Amino acid sequence: MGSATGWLDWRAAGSRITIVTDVTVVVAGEAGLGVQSAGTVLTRQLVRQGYHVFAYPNVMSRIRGGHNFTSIRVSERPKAGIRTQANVVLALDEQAAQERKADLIEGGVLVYDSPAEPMIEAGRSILPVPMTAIAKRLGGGPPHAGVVGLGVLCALNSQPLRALQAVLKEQFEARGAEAGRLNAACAQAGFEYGRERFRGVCPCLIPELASWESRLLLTGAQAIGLGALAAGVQFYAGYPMSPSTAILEYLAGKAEEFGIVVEQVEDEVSVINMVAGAAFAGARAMTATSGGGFALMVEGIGLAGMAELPLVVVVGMRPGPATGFPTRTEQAELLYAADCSQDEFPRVVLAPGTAEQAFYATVRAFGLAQRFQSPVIVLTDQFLLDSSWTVGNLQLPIANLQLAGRQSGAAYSFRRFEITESGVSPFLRPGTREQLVMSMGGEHDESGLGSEDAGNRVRMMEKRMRKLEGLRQEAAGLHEFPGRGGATVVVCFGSVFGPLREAVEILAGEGADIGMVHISDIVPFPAKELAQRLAGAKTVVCVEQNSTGQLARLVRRETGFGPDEIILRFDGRPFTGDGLAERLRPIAGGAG
Amino acid sequence: MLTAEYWSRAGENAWCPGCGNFGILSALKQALAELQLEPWRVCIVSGIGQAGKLPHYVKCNFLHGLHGRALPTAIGVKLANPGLKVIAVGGDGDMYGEGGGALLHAFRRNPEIACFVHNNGVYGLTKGQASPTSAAGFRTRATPEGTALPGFNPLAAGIAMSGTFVARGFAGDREGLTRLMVLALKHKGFGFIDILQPCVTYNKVNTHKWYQERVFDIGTRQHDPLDIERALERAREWPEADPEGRIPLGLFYSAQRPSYDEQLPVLRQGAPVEARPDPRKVEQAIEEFRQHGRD
Repeated sequence: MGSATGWLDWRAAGSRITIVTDVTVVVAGEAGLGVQSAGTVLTRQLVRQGYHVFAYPNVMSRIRGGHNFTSIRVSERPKAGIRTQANVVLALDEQAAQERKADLIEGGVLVYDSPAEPMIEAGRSILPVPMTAIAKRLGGGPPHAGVVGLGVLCALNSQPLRALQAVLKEQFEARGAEAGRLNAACAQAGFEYGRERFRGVCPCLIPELASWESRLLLTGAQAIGLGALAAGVQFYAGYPMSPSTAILEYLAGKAEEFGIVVEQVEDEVSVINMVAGAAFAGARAMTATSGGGFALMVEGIGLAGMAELPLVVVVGMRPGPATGFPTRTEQAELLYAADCSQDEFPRVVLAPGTAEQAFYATVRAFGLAQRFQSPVIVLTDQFLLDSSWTVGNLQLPIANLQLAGRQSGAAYSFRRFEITESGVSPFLRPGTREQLVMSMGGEHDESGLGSEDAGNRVRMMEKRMRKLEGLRQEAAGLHEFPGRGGATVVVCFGSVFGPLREAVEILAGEGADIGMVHISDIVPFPAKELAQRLAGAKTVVCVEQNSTGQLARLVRRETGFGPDEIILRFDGRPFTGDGLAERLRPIAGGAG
Repeated sequence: MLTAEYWSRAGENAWCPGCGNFGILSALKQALAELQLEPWRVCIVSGIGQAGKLPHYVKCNFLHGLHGRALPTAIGVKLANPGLKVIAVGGDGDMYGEGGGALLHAFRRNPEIACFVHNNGVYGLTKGQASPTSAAGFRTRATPEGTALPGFNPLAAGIAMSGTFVARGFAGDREGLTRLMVLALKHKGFGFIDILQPCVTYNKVNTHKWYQERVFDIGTRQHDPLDIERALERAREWPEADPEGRIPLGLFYSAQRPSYDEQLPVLRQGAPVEARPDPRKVEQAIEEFRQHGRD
């Protein structure tokens, strides 16, 4: 074994306890070895120690084999993204060890499944642990090797063993007492192995925090599911497609308790029409999908525009076109979502930046859909949906979910598409006593019957499009950080929020005169506000995850300001705060 | 009691004079009258084509939606508000072509809705192209050499998908069609009727006379709708193979299984459109994600 200062003293802290405020632990291995469940256990364990945790699953689109890893970022302050490098890697197989070793910072630690001897390699501590052998000795299989590894990490990080065991017990409770004992034994064996072999040389990477508060730990998909529940969703239909499937599954689990119909349907074409039918019937209706499924739904969204049906569509972007990268992230459907249509109709597109924002955006989406009788798209991505986030609390907002309905007086006199100043017509549910609701995807008159009259057509188009004026009044403001200033102003939307905020924080800390603007309302676009904001900037930069700069085009078309620089990423991997800072530094200045 | 005439909606009708659709419309109004329903409790969802215009001529709620999408739309309406009597209507191009996939899954799902398909073996509204039920060899401007494909057999498909009410009617047999429609509307499950409908403008093969000479009521031949083998045999009878062949009408098959609505536990709590969000339950759902501290 090496000396204490040789391989574990990554912050030159000697043997003294080091309080670390921002650590990244990567758990890696091939699919089927329990990488994701090991990552989940570690994530929960650390949240319970009082830390904010952000976990991003980096998985391949396959059920077994390949190479997957979860980046778990542990910090005292909340983070909305991952870092490029890792402090600790736990690799469950040899390939994972080789691939992820390169991610380690100097002084970082690699723990991997091998009977080899510990060594130092390029300033990194390489710590082989015979995890499979230890698990086997105790009667366990490959997934238990991961538990042994978690035990080793526990010792290295100076986490109490009971913290790990408590989470293991809870997570695998359903598998019975015998499985529980085996997990506990594997965790303990790993812990003891780590403590004995590496005794006295572990810097305390992730100590128990002195102050502690309980937090919610949830994925973006779960936050959206909760938002739907908070908004009183009554009907959900979906077709499984990464990364939206988790929303379908979450709501299916809540269907009976909340009295919601949750349907898995034969294809996305049927999904959107089923949702449209439910919305016509008066239900608060929703679906979620990704690019390809969304493409199939666009026809139905047009029907919702024409028949003025309130519905919510969550689009979880992933790289495309066609199949692209099913399990990775991108923001290349910005303009597609903003402009999706046959002809023209009002719609809303919201692009929340974090899981917490996604919760509130979903509630808001239902409110806007109901009040403006229009389709609302919540535009998000794999990075936001699949990541696990810690959130202090989610407040139940009082959303205005009332349909703008009113009962007409005389029997059989209801006019579904009555022309109004706001463009919003009265809404009644079909099944209302002695009234009929008539609606169609063809152009229609105020009663809902088909009409090819030219004057009526113009009046109806104008009525529908007038809803945009009301929607503009509802637009959320720009999220600005650190404040209004900045010679360099960086603009982003959606989940780039977290990484960009971190990059700006880094550069501002270095003395750069920089500010960021996050746009969460894509349609209607906050054109006036953004134009004012950009007018004071010396340099305008757009940061987005696609190959052509769609946000930059949108900003130009809506405000007339052409960004001076565009920073793009389209390899399917999320931006990192430190990586973005590096790319912004030459533009914004700041001490490199 | 509301008469069939009460179910008429005033206004101009866009169908060709002599169109088979008139027989279907008349049978539907008669069936609705016989069932003593009220217009505000009935909702027709239709697709695109001449058949899709039907709800404009009936006094009831309607959503005249997209081509081929009437069935999923109707299922959405029904599941959101099971109190409504929901009818899906479309033509052969609509239900068997554009919406073919949805039809197969509707048989599987067995929702409590009636589905009436106006099957005239040709595309009318786009002015005379071959439809999924046009016979092989049917010549049109889009298929000048005659379509090479055999016609789609909706009854055989419905039987194969374990349909619980798989029937055929004929627009020229108003009484028989009304009887079938009443049964389909009362059926606890997917009440499907393929309705043979002469097209006076574009289908010069399957004319009114052609049908009249060939149709017969399956019920007069001791047919048992529980017998799947016999039902399939009957479904395959068609003059295309045998010039002397006849065309059976009536209820071919009825698989015995519960409707989707009956199987969906959430519907036992009442109509989903009536469900109110309970803030305590939502708070509980949020709390399920709380990680409780060090132990």
